Amino acid sequence: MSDPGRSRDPADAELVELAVQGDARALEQLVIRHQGVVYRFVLGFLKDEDLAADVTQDTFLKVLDRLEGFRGESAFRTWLLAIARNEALGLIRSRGRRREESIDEAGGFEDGPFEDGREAPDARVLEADDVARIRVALDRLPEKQRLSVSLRLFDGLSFREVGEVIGSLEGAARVNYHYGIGRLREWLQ
Amino acid sequence: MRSEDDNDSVFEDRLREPAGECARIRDLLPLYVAQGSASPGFAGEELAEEDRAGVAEHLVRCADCREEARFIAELRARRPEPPASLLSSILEAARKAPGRQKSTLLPRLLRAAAVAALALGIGTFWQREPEPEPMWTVALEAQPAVDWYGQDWLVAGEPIVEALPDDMLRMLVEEMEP
Repeated sequence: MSDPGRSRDPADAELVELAVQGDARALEQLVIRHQGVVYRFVLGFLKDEDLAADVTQDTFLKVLDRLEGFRGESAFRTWLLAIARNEALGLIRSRGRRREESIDEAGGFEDGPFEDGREAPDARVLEADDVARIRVALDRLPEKQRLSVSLRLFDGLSFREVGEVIGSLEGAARVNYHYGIGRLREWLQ
Repeated sequence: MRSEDDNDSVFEDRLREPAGECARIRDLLPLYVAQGSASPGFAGEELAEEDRAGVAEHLVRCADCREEARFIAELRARRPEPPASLLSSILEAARKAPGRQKSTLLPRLLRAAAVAALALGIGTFWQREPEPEPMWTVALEAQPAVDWYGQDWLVAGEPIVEALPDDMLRMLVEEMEP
């Protein structure tokens, strides 16, 4: 995978402008740069690799359709992830898979058993390889903690941007991240 | 509604939240770990050199933060990655999508035409020979400007020769003669 987002690379806004003009190379660079964060973000909602790949593709197609209307009022990545979120939640709604969740409004903190109702993963965690162990543990986290960990740890978003993307305040995103990391350490170490 | 166990869990979580210097350092650990890792693919913020040095110095003397840094480095190294085929799938779907069959030829031709027109205009402007200044304008400038204000054939202080009535032209010529 290429190295995205560094200052020596063209800015997103520049690539968007070129892509709008029909520059296929600029479009490809945008997809290369952001497909990972979109995939991991929607995986955080869907917990299914195939669905996450499909929704990632749908997200980019929707973004391409709307690219000419992108005014740059927010960062391109924030805009992209907002569309990804809508796509993922739309799929969940259409499949009726989303369960009601308890949410601690003060901290954006959710607690309780596994959201998908599966049994505790401890036994499977011990047997699975490292990547699978991490996936199972991540899936076990409440949604906002899972998304905060993914966006901050895996893709380096600021807490402000994490908050914008998951619909929380910056402080709540930070708290969710630290709670999530604490729990993962407890389960995986 | 939370059970008693849930409340205990929340309480434990609040204890787990780092405080003081450790909190600031742990906020930065994902960026620190990413910059220290050889693996590419991190679109995150750049960690300032001052912050990077501060984190490194803190990790030398804080075992728990050092352990967290090692832990999140392991997590990061095993983050979920999209399937290798996803990029080509997206680009292929984008090419086939209705409304995205946009030809790049027309915009390029239009841009080229605009650039050519601009270049031609600039070239014409710069290559134009300056017109010799008529002798009589020197004489006009020597006249009290107030005499010429308010005349229809004056624009920004310059007489429009073509618009001068014949009697005015005669007057000018007479004034210019010694």
